[in-house]
Amino acid sequence: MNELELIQQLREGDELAFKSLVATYQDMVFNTALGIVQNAEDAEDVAQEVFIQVFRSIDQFKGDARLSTWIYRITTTKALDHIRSRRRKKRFAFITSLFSANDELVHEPIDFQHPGVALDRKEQAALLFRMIEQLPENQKVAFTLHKTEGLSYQEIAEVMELSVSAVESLLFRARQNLRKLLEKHFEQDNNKS
Amino acid sequence: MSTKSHNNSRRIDEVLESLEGVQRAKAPDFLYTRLKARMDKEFDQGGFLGRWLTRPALALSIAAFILILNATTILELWKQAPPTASVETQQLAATDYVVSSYPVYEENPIEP
Repeated sequence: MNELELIQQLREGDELAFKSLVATYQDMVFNTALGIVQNAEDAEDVAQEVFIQVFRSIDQFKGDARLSTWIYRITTTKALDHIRSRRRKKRFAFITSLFSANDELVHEPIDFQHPGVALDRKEQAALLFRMIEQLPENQKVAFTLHKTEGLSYQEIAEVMELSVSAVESLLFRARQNLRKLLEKHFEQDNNKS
Repeated sequence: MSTKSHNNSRRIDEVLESLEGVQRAKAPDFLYTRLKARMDKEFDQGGFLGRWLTRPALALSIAAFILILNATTILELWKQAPPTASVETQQLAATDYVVSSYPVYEENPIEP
């Protein structure tokens, strides 16, 4: 079944076509979401939301971009929404913990380990993901798509609806910011030891 | 100092390159089964009318409409002058509720 046939069948509400769509794109969606939200459970939640959105709004897909580009776009948007909602909950939990009777600490999550990273690079990758989390949203999305999904600048530009030069600039700034954050981290590390 | 700085620079490069050649993470097993169950549940709970009524655009439009309606009513009431009764109406009302100064004492004068 080619892409056009798949889209047509999805528009007709064909369940088998939807199942085929999920089978084709689930790893792509999950991996992209995982790179952004940095938690496997949250990434699955985002992936489910993405496919529900695709199912509901397939009629809005104009076909001027590839289906994968459109799905990437929905995934990055949903993943960022998820992070914002998580931050809101975190803030609320912190405020309520201030007024609660028991002195429960708000636990920070442990470092995220991407399952696709080679064993000898796990520690560095975990540190990199911790720094990526501090990047502005657009830089985070561009960097994650480039590094974890291996998308080219052109493909990222299509997903983010930006020009290629804007993506180049985003990635340049992302690397600069990461370098600064890592410098600060290692300086603090050196001062401790 | 320079060795420290050089060492840091090397470590930074190592961290920045740590995602080179990363493998794509696989979606968890039975994702479709869980997704289908979630979709069925959402469909059962909401139903078409429920989902349609809870759409943010529609809900906000309804709220805005009610607010405008309230504001218009309040403004209209405010603009209206307080009702003034005519002399005839006052007299009729006085007859109905007997609030006139009926000269009871004059008709039955009780002289000491």
